[in-house]
Amino acid sequence: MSSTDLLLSVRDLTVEYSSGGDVIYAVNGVSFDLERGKSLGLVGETGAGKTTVAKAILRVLPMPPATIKGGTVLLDGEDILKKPEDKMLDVRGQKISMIFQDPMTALNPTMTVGEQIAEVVRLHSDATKQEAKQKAMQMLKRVGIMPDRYDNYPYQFSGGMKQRVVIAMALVFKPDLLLADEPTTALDVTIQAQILEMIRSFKEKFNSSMILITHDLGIVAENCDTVAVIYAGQIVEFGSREDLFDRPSHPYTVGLFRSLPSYAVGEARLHPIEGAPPDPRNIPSGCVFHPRCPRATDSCGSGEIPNRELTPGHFCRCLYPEV
Amino acid sequence: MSAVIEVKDLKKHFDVPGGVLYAVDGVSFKVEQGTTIGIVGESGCGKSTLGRTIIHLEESTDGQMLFQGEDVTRLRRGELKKFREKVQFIFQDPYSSLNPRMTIEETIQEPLRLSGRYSKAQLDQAVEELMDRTGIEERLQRSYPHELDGGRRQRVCIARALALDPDFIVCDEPVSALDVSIQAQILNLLMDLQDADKLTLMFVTHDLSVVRHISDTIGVMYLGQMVEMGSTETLFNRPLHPYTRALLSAVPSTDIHKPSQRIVLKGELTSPINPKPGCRFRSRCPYARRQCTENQQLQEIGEGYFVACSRVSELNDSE
Amino acid sequence: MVSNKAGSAAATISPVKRRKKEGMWKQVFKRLMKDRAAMIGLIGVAVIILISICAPILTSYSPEEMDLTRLNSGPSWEHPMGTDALGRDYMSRLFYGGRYSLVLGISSSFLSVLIGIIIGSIAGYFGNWVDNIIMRLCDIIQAIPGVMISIIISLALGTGYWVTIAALAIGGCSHGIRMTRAQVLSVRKSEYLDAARTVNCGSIRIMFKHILPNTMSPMLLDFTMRIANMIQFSAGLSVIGLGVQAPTPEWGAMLSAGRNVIRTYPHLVMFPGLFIFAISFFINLFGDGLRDALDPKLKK
Repeated sequence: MSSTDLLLSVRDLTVEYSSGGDVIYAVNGVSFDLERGKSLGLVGETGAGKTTVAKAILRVLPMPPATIKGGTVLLDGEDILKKPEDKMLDVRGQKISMIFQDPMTALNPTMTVGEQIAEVVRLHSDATKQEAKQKAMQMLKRVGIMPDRYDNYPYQFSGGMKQRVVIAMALVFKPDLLLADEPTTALDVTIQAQILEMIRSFKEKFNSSMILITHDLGIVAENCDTVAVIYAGQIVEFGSREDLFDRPSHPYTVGLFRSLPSYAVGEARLHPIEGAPPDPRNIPSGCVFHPRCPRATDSCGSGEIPNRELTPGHFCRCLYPEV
Repeated sequence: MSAVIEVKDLKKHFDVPGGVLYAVDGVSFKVEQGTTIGIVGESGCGKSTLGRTIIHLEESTDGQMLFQGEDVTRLRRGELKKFREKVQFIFQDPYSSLNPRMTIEETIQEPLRLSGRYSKAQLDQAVEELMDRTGIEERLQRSYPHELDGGRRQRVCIARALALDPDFIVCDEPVSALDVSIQAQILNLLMDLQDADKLTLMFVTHDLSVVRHISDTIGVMYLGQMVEMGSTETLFNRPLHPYTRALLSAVPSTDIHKPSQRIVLKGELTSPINPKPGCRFRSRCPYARRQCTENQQLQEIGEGYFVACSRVSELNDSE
Repeated sequence: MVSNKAGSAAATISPVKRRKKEGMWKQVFKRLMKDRAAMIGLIGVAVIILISICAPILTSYSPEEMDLTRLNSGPSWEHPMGTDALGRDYMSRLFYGGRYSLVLGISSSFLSVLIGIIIGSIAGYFGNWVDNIIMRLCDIIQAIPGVMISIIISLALGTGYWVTIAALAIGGCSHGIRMTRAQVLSVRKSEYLDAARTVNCGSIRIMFKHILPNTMSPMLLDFTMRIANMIQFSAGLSVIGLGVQAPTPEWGAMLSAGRNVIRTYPHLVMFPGLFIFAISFFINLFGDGLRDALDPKLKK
């Protein structure tokens, strides 16, 4: 992989939150690469730290209470964690855009949807008000909304259409990297299909890369080239789509697949993972998953667990991966 | 007749600014004892309203409900009290359905206390038993909801619903708010309890993979009406109504080697307020014809299998 | 009996220790203890209360004792805070006055909040025409200046200490009514109320066991913050001749009694003013801390 293909390179990203005297270890040494034009699925359950990773990359974490304790985020070779804030304003919305989870709250209820898109245009270019409006109407059309709805307010739209507006705002400047945080979780499944299809086609057209954050393995299977499974702030498994879906190896990944109802077709009972995710204030020592792991031994409870490369490009942070 | 619940042409309408919202508009079905019926649909289809109407959280506008053979469409205070001891409800959000100022113990105890049939000692014992059956650790008795994670909270809701030993439980999206790995735990719990107590369940959800696993029969709702209903396996293997087919095809699959044949629906959901006559799915249906402007009826196609589409035979014979 | 322990979560790592019933209040209390400003406020209030209670020990004069040789004298050794127009020791009047002012402030605030809770809950819970009528009455009360309300009540009941408390309570209750009503309306949407209905909970029990406990926090705060307001307001009433009457030593009354001679005998206004300031300041400090402690979003 030549260096020009590599868009994003994250190394040892560590983020902590302080809350009422406690420290919350949200992200603990996350590393991954993303090539230009490819999409990475970041899979995990609530509290695993996926949104924090995305917000850290975009540098929109509230600091305090959050602090980026360490790590580098190289975008086109440049460490954006070290970039001064005023230079970051050029990055956000232009090179990196984010689609947030809940379309109901992502839009300003007191501004028309057209204005909100136009605002993005004006913030990152020298466009005049008229030009911005034209561009906004163009974007509305592109996401499948009639341009004459420019003057409508968010409350006049359904959830799916609101999300289209959010996508329009995110894609105005054809970003190199699109961060999509559970973009369809709040939507109906038939609308979800439409929205994902739309995101996919834009991505292909602009050759954008995407980090798709989700807990839904089905969405990952259909939309992502590479997959990272995150648990308690660490990436426990990383690989290509085929690696993860045909040969999942980390016991957590395997457990996730096994707990899906589609896995237990024809059987009476499902196969859940025992226990519950750890309190982020109290991350287990050694392997973060060991208290719930059916394969754990004593050596899993302490020390640094090595991140092994099982096959080229397929990594697993486990002493006893399932092969 | 072993049908526990029978619903005949049930309707629930709301007066809203702008007209009448036909949330549930003529739904009929039967649920046999010891089985589970899954009601699926997307937002606005009326499935939640259906569940709430059955348990009398909403009063039906029209139609009839029968429980164990008796008419329970309209109930007086005393009858309602008895009804609620046999028919219970589990809510979707395990946080907002628990009073944040009551301990787990108090919450589970409440239905028992209100029934007036238990002494103090019996209450304590009953709570312990319920917590044991639903897998909640005894030491959590005096905890508050905010101290527990989603999965445990939902177990509390289930324990509360079981307290009065009901025969029929309506579960409104009971696992949708939970993490995937916890969902499986709760589903197993529900199925075990159903086996042990011979419960009949109505499982309302939008999650098709979950409903496939837990239900014996499935009803698909769209904008207040039932468009397809029948045995789970038949429905999943060979869905007949155009909406059902689009719905099932929209679910992303984890099988990366099977290309998905997605039926992408055009347009958005039409409004359930003052709907136009005829098939409500017409505006988005790839097969709509002129005859679809007539109201569609649920017809029995096979044994116990119903579809509400006048074109169903011609569409499926051609396959 | 199948007992599904599959999900018993015995393997969890974050243990929730078995404890005595630790109420929300206990947690609130713990958080308060950590807030230094709130503790300063609490101590300040406690000191003032103590001074009022121990007035007989701390002063050697009685608040009625007149020394006609020393009218309006400034601070001196015998009278550390001077004397008033009738030669009474100001310090003892202020210390004893604390009792009257604090009782006035606390009881009028309490009454006001109580009326607010009762009527606001009824309005919020029953809605429809009941709500409508109550809200319109509130509008009327709010539209009438507080002073007018006091005048009206005085015309009916005369003047005096307890009448003042009633007037203050009634004049200020509309705010509490609206606040409780808003709280009840928002709690009414909660699913746990529906859940209570499904287990056969009656309306009365729902009101007392489910709605009220969840609406208490802002009312508690309101009660605390109002105490100072009430004392200040009663000072205003004294100006127009209503409110607490002579010879009752009440800070507000004493403050307004001295307003005409503020240039010549500033101590007559300054000292009561200082006390009113002190109680307001400390209560507000505490109240701010209480508000933070009650905020569920700041919860650990």
